[in-house]
Amino acid sequence: MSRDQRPIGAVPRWIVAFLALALALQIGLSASKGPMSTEAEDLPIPPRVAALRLAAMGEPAALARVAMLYIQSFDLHGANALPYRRLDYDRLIGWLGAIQALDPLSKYPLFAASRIYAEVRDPGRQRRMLEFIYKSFLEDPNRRWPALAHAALIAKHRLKDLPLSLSYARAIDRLTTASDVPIWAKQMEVFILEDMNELDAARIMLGGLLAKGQVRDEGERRYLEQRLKSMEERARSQSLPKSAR
Amino acid sequence: MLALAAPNATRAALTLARFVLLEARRTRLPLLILCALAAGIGLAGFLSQLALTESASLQAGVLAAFFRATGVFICAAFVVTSMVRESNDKGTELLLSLPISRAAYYVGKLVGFGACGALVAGIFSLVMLIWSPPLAVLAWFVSLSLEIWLVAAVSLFFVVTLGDVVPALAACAGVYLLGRTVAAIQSISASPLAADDDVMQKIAGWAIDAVALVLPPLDKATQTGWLVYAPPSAQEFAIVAFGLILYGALVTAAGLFDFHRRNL
Repeated sequence: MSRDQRPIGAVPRWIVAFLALALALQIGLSASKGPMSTEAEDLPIPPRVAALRLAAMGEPAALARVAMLYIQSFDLHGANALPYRRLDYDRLIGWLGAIQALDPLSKYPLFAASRIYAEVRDPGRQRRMLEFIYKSFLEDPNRRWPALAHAALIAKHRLKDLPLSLSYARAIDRLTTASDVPIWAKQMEVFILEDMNELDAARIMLGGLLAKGQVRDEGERRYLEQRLKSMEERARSQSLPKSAR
Repeated sequence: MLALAAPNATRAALTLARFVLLEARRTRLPLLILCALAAGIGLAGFLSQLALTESASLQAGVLAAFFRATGVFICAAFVVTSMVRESNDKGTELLLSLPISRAAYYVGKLVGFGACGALVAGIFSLVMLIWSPPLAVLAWFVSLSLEIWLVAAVSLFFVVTLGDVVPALAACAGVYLLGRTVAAIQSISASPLAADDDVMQKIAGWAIDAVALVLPPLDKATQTGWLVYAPPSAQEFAIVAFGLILYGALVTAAGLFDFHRRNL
């Protein structure tokens, strides 16, 4: 107890009782709030980049990341009953494009585009997202090639569209000029043409990204490894005879 | 028991409350409110000229959000600066040397600040009647009055505890902003896209939930949507009002507790 404070005994009892009661009621009321009522909510219309810049108040990098969290929250959870697989992809692409324009150096929008939103089991949505990734890649090939490399794998293994996949692989080879772009990425066309399954291709890609230090963020590394693990489990269960499953 | 129930204590508290209102008038708070009115109406008028549609609701929406933030800020700043000035002038010691209990002093001050907040909310609400129906404005006025009273209680608590303008205002702003955003933060923290087995994420989620238990329920209070679309249902409004009153009572109790422990 400091010299500035009197003992608790100096506080009238009714104040102590009042405080305890109010605290108990507040915690009880907050805790008793049931789960938020779920409602199927789609993404709002994406804002213009100028509006986002204004809202950023000189902190575009911070707002871009917060906006990505906001986009990410539009999923089957909390107050929203609409899974991202059923989101309006035109709006989603509008949001991702606006956030990318707000902070062109951030790789978050393209990471989400290639690793989350392009992996839905809906060819139409997948194609739209791949198109967005390709267009973004053309603006800054040396930074954005990892997203297009993954898009090439999705085009080959999910969409079974070899020409599209090859066009992406060739774009990486032709348009990237930075010295830190790894050889395997420049030569992606070769392993697109090889008879390689999706799991092996993903292993090579993740191994290459990790070896070259392209994946520095711990959360991103964990997410990619988790995806790889689930692919391995899926491949293992598919290779088992039906009776053993 | 219940020192405030004594007639003398009640009279002393009401006298102190009247002095707070007098101080507000003499420190040119009404002029500040008039300036805020002019600035808000000017801003809303300018934006409504740019709108292609819904110009009236745009005006009402912008003005309501502006008035809410302005009212809260002006009252918090008034509470903090007034208390610090009185403390620096040794006014607190002088008043407590008179036959006034600490509880009467504290509650009297809070009643004065709350009445001042209700006046500010009333003036802003009268202006909102130009754009919105009376019932919606009434609900908005009551909610804004309670919100400003709650902020006054939080400001009083922090200024009594921390004793300086900047720390008290910063702490008050932190509680207020967290109170308005914590529901959205909780929603984002529950995103299933992140790894399920991430212990740190779970701990962060629990920490946010724990903090939310002791934050004011401001996310549903004083909604601009009430003015622009429809007033809240009686049940929705009652829940909002009860949450604000309860939190105000909690902070008042905490403030009284701390004030009684303070060696002056």
